[in-house]
Amino acid sequence: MIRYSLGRLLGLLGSILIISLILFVAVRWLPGTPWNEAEIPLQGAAKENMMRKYGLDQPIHVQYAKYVWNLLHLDLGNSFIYRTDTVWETIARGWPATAKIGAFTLLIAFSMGIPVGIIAALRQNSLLDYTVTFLATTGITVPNFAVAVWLVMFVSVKMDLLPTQGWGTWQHLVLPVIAYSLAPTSLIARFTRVSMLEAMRSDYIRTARAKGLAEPVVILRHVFKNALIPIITLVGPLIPNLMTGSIFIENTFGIPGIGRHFVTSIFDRDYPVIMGVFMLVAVLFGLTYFISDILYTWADPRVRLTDRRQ
Amino acid sequence: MRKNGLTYLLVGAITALMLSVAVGCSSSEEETTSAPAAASAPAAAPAPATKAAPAAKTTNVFGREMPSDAAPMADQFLKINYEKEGEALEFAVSVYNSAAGSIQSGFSLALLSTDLSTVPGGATDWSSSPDMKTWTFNIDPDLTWSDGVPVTAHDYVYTWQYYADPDHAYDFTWYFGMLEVENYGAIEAGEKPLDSLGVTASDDNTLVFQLDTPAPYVPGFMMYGSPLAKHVAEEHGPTYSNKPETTVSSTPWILKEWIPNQHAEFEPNLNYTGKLLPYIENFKAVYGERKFDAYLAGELDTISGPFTPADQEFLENDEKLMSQRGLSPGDFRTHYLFFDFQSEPFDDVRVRQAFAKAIDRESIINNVVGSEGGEPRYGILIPGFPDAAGPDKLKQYQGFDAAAAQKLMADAGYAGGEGFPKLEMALRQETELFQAAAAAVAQQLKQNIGVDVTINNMDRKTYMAGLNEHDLQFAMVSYGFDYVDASNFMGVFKTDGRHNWNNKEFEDLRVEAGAMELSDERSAKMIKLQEILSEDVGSVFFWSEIQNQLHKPYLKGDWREENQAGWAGLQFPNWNPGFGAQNIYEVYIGENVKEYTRSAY
Repeated sequence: MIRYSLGRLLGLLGSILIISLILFVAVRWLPGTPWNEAEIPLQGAAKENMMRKYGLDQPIHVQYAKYVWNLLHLDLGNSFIYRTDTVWETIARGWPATAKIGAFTLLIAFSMGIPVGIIAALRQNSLLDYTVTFLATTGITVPNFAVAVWLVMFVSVKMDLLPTQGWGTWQHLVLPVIAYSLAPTSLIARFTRVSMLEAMRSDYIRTARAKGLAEPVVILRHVFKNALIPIITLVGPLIPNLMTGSIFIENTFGIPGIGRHFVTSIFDRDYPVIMGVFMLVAVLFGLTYFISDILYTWADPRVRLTDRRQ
Repeated sequence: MRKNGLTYLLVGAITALMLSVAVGCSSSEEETTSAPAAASAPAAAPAPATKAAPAAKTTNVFGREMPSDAAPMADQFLKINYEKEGEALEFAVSVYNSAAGSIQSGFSLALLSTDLSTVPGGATDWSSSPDMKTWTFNIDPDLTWSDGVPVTAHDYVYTWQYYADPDHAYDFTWYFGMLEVENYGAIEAGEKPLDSLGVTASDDNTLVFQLDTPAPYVPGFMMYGSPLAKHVAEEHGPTYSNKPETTVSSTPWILKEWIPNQHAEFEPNLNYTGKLLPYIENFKAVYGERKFDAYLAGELDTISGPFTPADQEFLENDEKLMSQRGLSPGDFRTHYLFFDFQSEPFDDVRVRQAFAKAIDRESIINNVVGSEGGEPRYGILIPGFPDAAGPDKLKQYQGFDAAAAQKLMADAGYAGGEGFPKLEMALRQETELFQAAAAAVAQQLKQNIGVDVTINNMDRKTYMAGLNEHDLQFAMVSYGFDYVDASNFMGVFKTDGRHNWNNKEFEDLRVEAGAMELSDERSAKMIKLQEILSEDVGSVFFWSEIQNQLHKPYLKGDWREENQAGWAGLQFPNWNPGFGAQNIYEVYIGENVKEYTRSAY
């Protein structure tokens, strides 16, 4: 297990290095400059000064070598747009808000999605099941920004119950979390239902019942545990996804998170921030898949870590 | 029945387990959010920094007597909105990445009045040499920074040197470089030291600009240029005004708190010594992109467009909101279509003229933009801007005439659009409104002259790279003024400038008029330049926005009255205390505020 884990972690490091190279070259291929030329293009000395300031006057391989060297020292550089901030500071300032929204969203998604999915599966083809299926499908298909705008219009503007935008109080959390959690809750409910139904039709469940096991034991120990495998597959990427925010949610509700940086840093050609936030996602996804793989071994007896030579 | 009971028991157990985790997490959430909640509380109703005086005559903390219909001092705060966050509050550090709504902490040498005239700001008066190459500004001797240190000419010299400093690599250097101050370019190129700049202080209160070329518009040009406090910048660096503990201010307000991407709060500068006295004592700039909803919910006192088409429609259909509306030409921005003028088919003036005449601007304004949201244009300058040619004068060159457009296309060899290449109209990452307007143009070009046009709403940086390299064949863009003089707009169309439309007659006249003293003769030349530009179709001038604004009925002041050009509302430069002479100084909260709910958020 330890050898397997170390191997996977080394592979993860290699992947991150390759991603950094691809990303580094790709963002520099984009037309345009980090500085703003909204009205008149910079020319001559003014342009050279800008190039020097942003370190873009050096060949790209030198820039990349410097980047990797700094990365090894956990130095992500300074934002081109918020020049007084390091990329770490930009992330550190935005992530708490994003993580808070993401954590509550995950909490709601799991605490509602899984029980609802289980109920729907246990009451298959009932009115309850149809209702859950309908609501879950709606929740997945309606985009979260549409829900967000609707919530603002009715809850904030019409009913004057909660703020339209901003950050800092618990009231500012409510609408973003509702809007953000709708899709993952629905997704988890749908997956849980389907996985449960599949497991319930299995031979080993019939066997368990034939052995006279009590129904809660059958559901909890055999059905639910086996249904967890596809749920883990789904939930793995969902966690880093939700924990790194959504530009739609953050823009609509004026949340000072990092979700917006995934888009605005590209529009701004803020190379250090682009590298920083996307590398963060790469690391989070890598770690999540790594943990998912470990969890598989617990949830599925057929998956065992064995020496390849055997 | 028993099975159902077991099911609910099981589900209940799982839910309870999950919720117990939730409760654990939420209690820690409450702890972490309590601090900001407390911090934001005063923002809802900033504490009055004045002595309460309920009597008929109330004087605020700045010593200004409040109008008789003003609300109590506790209500004299303003909540405005900003939509883009940046790196620094100071204009001298960055313009395009400015933070917190660009609220300046110092006065530009001259300020802009709401009718576009130039009035004293950091300088009490100014004069020029006969050749208009030497300009002298007398700094207000009474003006001090909030720490008691006088504002001097040395602050402005330091700031100008910082603009030109190659290590600073200022993003607005193109603007100040345009004035051709002696040695500015050489310093920027690192060829000369900072102290060789042609901006000097003869004494503490006398600032002298030495220019390489004559410029009659220098006072208006100085609307931009809020100074850094030299003594503080040298100690804490040029971004000193990002933090309340290091900031100083020479305007009536000083930074109390700035939380990036959330808000910036300003409180009274109790050591203010300037001549412009405001009514309001506190104000707060709130970050957020959904300003329209925030205004409707009472979270903001005032907002300015452009609004989304949906919000604009909502506004125009709501009588109550329409009564709260203000109008402004903003920065006199005109949207226009331009070409790659050096290549076929747009190197042929007949094709350009055909395009200009094939677009029914009035129809697009009425049906797409909204009659309340824009006006058609046939030239670059908007009426009300100095030396703007009247619309009738230019409509003869670019006014809608489908038959004439078809004939011009036929004369150019493209009868009915036959043989004309398919075009892509590039847009600069525009909003829904501009995309809709562009689509209407494309539809009219197809209908009137048989040209196929598709729309490409490009990422802004990619678009600008194409624009700067003259790589776009057909595109829409806009320009708003940087200083109040027609030469500013004419410079956009200089030879091999922003566009590759090169017209020798225009260029010669532009250079000649630009160096002339302000006079009727110069004005006539500026109007002639606009005629050449429209007739030779240096661009197809399309429309200009009428900036719709909303101001709560309790916002009072003469800024709500019509100005000389007939605009009633908040005029450029909006609420900025360092550039504008009137808006934020004349606004106050009326006693009718008690009839409205100002949200605590």
